[in-house]
Amino acid sequence: MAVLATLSHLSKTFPDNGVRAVDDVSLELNEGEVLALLGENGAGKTTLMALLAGLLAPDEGEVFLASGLSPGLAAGIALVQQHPPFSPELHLWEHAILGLPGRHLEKKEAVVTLNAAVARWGFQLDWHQLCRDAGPLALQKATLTAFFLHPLRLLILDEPTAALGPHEAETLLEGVRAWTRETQACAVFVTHKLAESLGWADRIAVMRSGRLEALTTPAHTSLEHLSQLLFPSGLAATVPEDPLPPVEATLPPVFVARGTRADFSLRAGEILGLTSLRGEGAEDLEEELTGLSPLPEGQLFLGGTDVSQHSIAGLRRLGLSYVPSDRMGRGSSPHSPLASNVIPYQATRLAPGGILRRASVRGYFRSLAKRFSLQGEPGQKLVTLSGGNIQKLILAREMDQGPRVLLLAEPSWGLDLEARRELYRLIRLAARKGSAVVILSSEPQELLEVCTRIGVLRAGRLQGERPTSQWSLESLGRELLGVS
Amino acid sequence: MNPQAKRPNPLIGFASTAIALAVALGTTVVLLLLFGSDPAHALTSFFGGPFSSSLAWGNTLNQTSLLILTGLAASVAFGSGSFNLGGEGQIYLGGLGALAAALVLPPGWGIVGLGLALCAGVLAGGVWGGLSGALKARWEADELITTFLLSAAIIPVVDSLITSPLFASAGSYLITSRKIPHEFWLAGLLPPSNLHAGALLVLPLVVVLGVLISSTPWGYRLRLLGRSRAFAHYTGISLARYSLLPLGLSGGLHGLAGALGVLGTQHALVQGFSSGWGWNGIAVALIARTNPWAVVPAALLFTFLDQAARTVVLQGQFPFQLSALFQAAILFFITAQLVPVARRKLRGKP
Repeated sequence: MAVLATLSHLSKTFPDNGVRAVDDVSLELNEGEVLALLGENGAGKTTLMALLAGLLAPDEGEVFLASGLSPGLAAGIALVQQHPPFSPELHLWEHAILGLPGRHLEKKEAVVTLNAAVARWGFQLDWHQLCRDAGPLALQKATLTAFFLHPLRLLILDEPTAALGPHEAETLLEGVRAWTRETQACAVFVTHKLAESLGWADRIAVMRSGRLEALTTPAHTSLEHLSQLLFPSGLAATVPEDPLPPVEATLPPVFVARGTRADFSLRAGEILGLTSLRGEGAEDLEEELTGLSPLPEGQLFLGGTDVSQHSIAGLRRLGLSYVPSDRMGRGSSPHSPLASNVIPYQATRLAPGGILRRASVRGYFRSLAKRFSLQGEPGQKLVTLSGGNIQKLILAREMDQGPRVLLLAEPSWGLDLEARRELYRLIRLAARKGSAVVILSSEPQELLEVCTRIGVLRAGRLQGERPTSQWSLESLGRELLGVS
Repeated sequence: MNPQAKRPNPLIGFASTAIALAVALGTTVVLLLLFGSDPAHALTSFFGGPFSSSLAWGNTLNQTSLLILTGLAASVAFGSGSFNLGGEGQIYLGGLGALAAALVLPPGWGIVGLGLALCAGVLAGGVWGGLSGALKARWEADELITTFLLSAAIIPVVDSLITSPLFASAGSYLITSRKIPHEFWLAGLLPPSNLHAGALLVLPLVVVLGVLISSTPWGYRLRLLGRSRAFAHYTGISLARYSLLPLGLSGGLHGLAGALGVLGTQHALVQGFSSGWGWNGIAVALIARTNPWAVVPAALLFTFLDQAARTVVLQGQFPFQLSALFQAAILFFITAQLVPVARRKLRGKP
């Protein structure tokens, strides 16, 4: 069995947030094998695959490829992303035959070829729809199908089954395995699903915090063992120094979701943490709970009012404050001064007689800065602050509304330890002052530190929601992975 | 990190504009020296021409006042993240609105009728700009396209109306409408130049708009929208309302420019009378970096260049195309430094 690619001591750090996504990873990929790459959110799996596919250049180390193999479809290496890039105005069949070498393909001919190719995977695809209308799943399927029309020898699949049903997932993985056997090619698939890797891979690689934690085969491991590797029981949750007082059960709920993908009922003073693995819909949930996307099913109540049809403006009027995961795009105006970034909800109040006075705007900024110990001068541009200070400014702005509901998405992403501690202190302060807090986070550890209740979003539903005291990192990890 | 360390110096922005100007003027002088038959004469007529007589002065000021309006119109739209490329049509339509009102209203109404005719111009331009805003608010139609197309579509319509029995005049070799009654003329200020009383409206309008945009909650929201659309939406600002308003306002300002042209200078609607005002307004807005206060010096500068180039072409045996070349050189250097700003703006779109 010949080696197809060798990864030698690869490291990659992202300068934007200083995260060492891949840390000294060495790995060999062989002809005719299927390798599963496991790891929790942010473990560095996708970065490692991008290095292998030649989409990113490593800071240290090297990728050695077998002769005749080089990055690119025509040269034998392809990466199927979870959200493949596409041109919205192309039809799906045009998208699929893009870059295919050889003579010009007519529409009829192309669709016949594509239908033959797609049959192998048990998919049904409408090739005549526009990419714009196709949706991520159809695009992923079309891209995958199209890739097999190329002379591939190394195929990388990033979470290929995340959005597939069990039967489709099985057909796909079975097809991939058969293909590697027939053509002596190699397939690597990134996944969260332990059972999938045990069932279909020849070897299993486990990553944690950028490092290759283990390399094993299905015969030498088990669900239990893999779960232990991903979420070690040795790591204990740190207990906050200032625990929140228990909430009286007689209080009426403030924020209620009923019949949605994540049903909950939240009282003032509670902090509910919702976590999930990537691809389980947490990103959509952030948009749906804040009125930025319409709620696909069920109802949402804020303070007893049905807000299922409300826009974000309407939700804000009823007392929602929101710290988004997209801090620089949605949460702030990076090239505007700090003062402009804190006054959107205060503009009318600060303008008696209709004129927004510089002195009152600066005065408001200073008072906010004093109460929340914010950095910087009112006229300074936001981008000049560090990530932690930007997040604190956003949180201060939202908390100063005295919100009934405070929703935070990935609040500590990219923050260092000290900034996180300060953030958690402020979130607890908001709860103590009477806000009902919801935190959407892909880091279970963080929820154990700050929340009073935690639930897991998996298979399109909220699972096992209960008080934090009844969770451990290990049990949370098992719930995330669906290992009972 | 020391938060003070990276504070940008506001003077840098002005300095870079000044440097761009200096380089552009240097290039102009080189062009004059290279192509002029009498370089010394060419230089004096270039730099002195626009101020050489009360006729030249008056025309310079009149053109400046119109450019301030169209520059403000473009600034209001650009500054709030809406791109209005339909100035040409909105100005022309504003002229038509003023003309129709002035021909329909009884001349006895005097100053009231004049005011109504101005309002009709503003309304006509505003509706045409607002239409693009409505299309954006309702169907997310890109205003960059719709403003341009609606403008391009309305120009031939206005052209054909001028020669229709409704407005046509007999016995003129220009393609022009009938003259409006004297009662509705804006009084001339510096005869025989084109300057008229309408120009006096412009500076107060700059002050009103400047305060509105830089110091009211409404203007704050508009600027926020221009800087970062996603953030503005997230804070609860209605994207629909704030697409409609700036485009309507922008169209209204264009319409006013057209109305002033008809009521103050032409006293009729002459085919193509406002050609180029809209595009030049965009250039002015870019030079002013969409700041309403900076529109005034930017418009003055632009007019000076235009008049100066015309003067040397008339006096110094320069080829006609050279005047466009002067303007191009200056615009090139001034807008070149704006490219990073524009790029950031486009990235800011969700």
